[in-house]
Amino acid sequence: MRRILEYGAVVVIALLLNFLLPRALPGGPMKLFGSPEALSRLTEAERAQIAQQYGFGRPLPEQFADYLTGVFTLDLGTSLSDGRPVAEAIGEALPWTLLLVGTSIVITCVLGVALGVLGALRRRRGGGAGLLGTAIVLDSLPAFWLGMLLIVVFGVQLNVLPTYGAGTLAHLVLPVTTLVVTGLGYFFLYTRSSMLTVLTSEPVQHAHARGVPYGRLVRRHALRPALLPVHTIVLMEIGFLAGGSIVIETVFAYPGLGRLTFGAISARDYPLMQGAFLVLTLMVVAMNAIADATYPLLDPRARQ
Amino acid sequence: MLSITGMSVCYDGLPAVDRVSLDVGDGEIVALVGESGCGKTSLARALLGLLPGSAEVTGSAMLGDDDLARRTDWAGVRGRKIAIVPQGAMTGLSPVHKVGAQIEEMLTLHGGRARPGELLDRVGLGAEHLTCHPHELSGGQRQRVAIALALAGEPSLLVADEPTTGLDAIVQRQVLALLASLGIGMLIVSHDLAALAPHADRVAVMYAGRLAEDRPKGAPPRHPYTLGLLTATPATDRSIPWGSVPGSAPPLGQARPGCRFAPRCPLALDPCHDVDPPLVDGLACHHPGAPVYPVVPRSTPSAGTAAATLTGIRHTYRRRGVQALKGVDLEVRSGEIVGLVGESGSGKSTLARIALGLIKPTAGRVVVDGEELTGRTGKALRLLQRRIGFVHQDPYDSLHPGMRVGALVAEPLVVAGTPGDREEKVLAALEAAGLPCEREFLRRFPGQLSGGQRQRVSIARALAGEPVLLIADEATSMLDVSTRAGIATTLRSLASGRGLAVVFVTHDLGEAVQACDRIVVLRSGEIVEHGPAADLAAAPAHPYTQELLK
Ligand code: SF4
Repeated sequence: MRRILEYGAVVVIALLLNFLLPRALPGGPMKLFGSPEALSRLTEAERAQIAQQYGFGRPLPEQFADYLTGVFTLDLGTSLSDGRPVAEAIGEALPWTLLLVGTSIVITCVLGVALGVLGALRRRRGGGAGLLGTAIVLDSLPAFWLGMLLIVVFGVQLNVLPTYGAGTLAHLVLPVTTLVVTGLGYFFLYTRSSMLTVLTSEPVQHAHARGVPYGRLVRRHALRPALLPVHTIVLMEIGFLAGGSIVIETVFAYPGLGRLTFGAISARDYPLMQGAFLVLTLMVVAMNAIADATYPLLDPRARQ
Repeated sequence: MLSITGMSVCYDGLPAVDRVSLDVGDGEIVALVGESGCGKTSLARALLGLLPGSAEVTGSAMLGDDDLARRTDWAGVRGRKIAIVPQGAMTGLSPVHKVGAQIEEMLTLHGGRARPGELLDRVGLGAEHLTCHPHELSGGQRQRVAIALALAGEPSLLVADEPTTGLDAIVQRQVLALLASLGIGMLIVSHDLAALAPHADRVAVMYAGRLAEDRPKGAPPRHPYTLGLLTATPATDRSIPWGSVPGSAPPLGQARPGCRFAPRCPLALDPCHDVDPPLVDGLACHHPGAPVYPVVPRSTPSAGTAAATLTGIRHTYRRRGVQALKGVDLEVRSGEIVGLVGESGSGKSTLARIALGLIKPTAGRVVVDGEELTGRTGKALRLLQRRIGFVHQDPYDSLHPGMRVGALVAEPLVVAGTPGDREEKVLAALEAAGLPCEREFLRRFPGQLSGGQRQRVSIARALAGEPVLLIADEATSMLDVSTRAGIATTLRSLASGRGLAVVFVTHDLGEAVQACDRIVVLRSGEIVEHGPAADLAAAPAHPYTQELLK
């Protein structure tokens, strides 16, 4: 019960920030209606009329009340830039993002965790050191840079894969690869260090002393405790990425939530920004809630 | 059954165990006793091949016709022929598996024929615990489960590594009684000579890697070190004095030739320093006798003025909903040592922290040196706190490893902004704490000191602030047995010499009986009994105190 209240509070604060932050950005939606010179020629009355029509000229509390009503009736307003209902625009973009993010998270997670465990077990041998070095390099690669590199190599020079848009499996290859390669290091490093901690922990050392053979020691005694913290970060990561991987989607002109958000921010499209941020917030909160709710299933110590 | 001959364990060439020979007969219980760093754990772990790769084992350890010292493949041996109850069962069981599954695993792995319920029954637990996870069990119950796990493979020899450490006194006795009742050959490794002696068929004592003595049950202890350990174990009878062995054991690889114990032995003569005494007739000593060790002096409590008064202290940890203290009154007068005795969860540490002003009690008043501490905040609180000294339980964690002794002890002076020559005051504090009053000592780092010396540095640091009240929170519990009474002696001299009021927090009623003028016994946040140490020890009124005194 207390948990639910806490999550409620988080959502309310997030809604408030969602509403205020876009309005704290310098510049305003007015610039959508023409070049600065054109705008400067508008009369006061004309400006007021535009503001009136789109609702952003009114006092903030009033706007916020409207926004809240909208959120709870699932009416997110209309986009200032193209006049589409925000809900519709998000509804179109979200599945693409989920496809992209879902695919890459599953691959990243499986690969990262498997390699992380391997890296921990082989830490004293050459292979382990190689894995660690590679992971640190990958973890520090900027995603946009790798994305553009892939576009240049596979899209332009080899011309074997589409470099923008979405629709076929081939369209997914480059953005997913970028996300996986840049995300892998994090999962690897996290799993590796968690596994190393658990391997030297008392329960595992004691099991070893009791004569549990090595393979079984790793599989049965070390793996589960080591993956407990990984479970939480996987879910959190899904929450963050679902908001759209803004950089990747923009680089690959992928029609997902990330690009939509990017467009909305550049245009100061308040309703669309609010909608996109709302989805991001809800995703993060939902994933946190799922992590909280499922953790006790894995760790008996967390059960009441 | 087990026959260890001339076994040595070296780490990077430095011997932690030096040519030790020891036998464990069928069904015999052998206690291997010694203080930290004496090599007992290395020896025990060598028997199961559990030493780190840097260790080198020489000599032999024949279990039947199997030489454990030479073994590299432990499948079918570890857990089956020889099993261990590892140190630290509190945290050593798998947290994610049920007790039943853990026992089941051992049975399958080692081909045990018993059923899980039977094993639990053997260690005195009901079958209902099979479906529990370890975190749902008490410390004593977890230790019993660890014993059941070791028994699953029906080993012929059981090694129990510090099976009582971390358990409350009453539970310790139960666990030892259980081990003694199992009827299989056993090597129990422990630092607690007095607790083990009644249960063991033979007692072997190690010092600095060498076996000092190996005597059967009933035979009187003869080695000066064994006698030192015995006098260092506080009796609950005030007529038996509490002594300590001055000095400390040599660090790994720094033992001098001759008898390892010679630098600390009151009976040492010239040959002791040159000739290593061989183990003859179960004793490695050139001329055993009756060594005289310094003991904690008794004093008649002087009735000074109240240094600290705590009235009606209640405290609830709101987050956990635990009522730690349920209305406790305590008065400490200058010049007296008050023992605050209780097991884990009794609230003694909470009370100490409240007296220090570190936590605010839910209700009640704390008055220190005539001024009210409760309700103060910020600077006013800190000013009053300077009149209270504190010695933390852990001498290894409580001193900054990168600061020199001089700087550590001078810290309260720096904080208070005391002008003038600090070095004089620091040296005086060192001397009062029983440390060498030398400039050279000021330049040492904590890492170069023994545990006892570190704890004295802590005391000196507390003294530098010239407190009226000193709170020693389990200040002896992490020290070697042989040096504990030395700390108590220092506290006593501070109380009688400077009129310091001392609160001596301990889980060991024996220590309190020996070191304190008055004793307060806490249990579950309530005072069950209090009174002068002599009366309380001679005629305990409360059944709980009686149980503790056993
Ligand atoms: S050999 Fe000498 S120094 Fe060693 S214990 Fe015996 S009397 Fe003491």
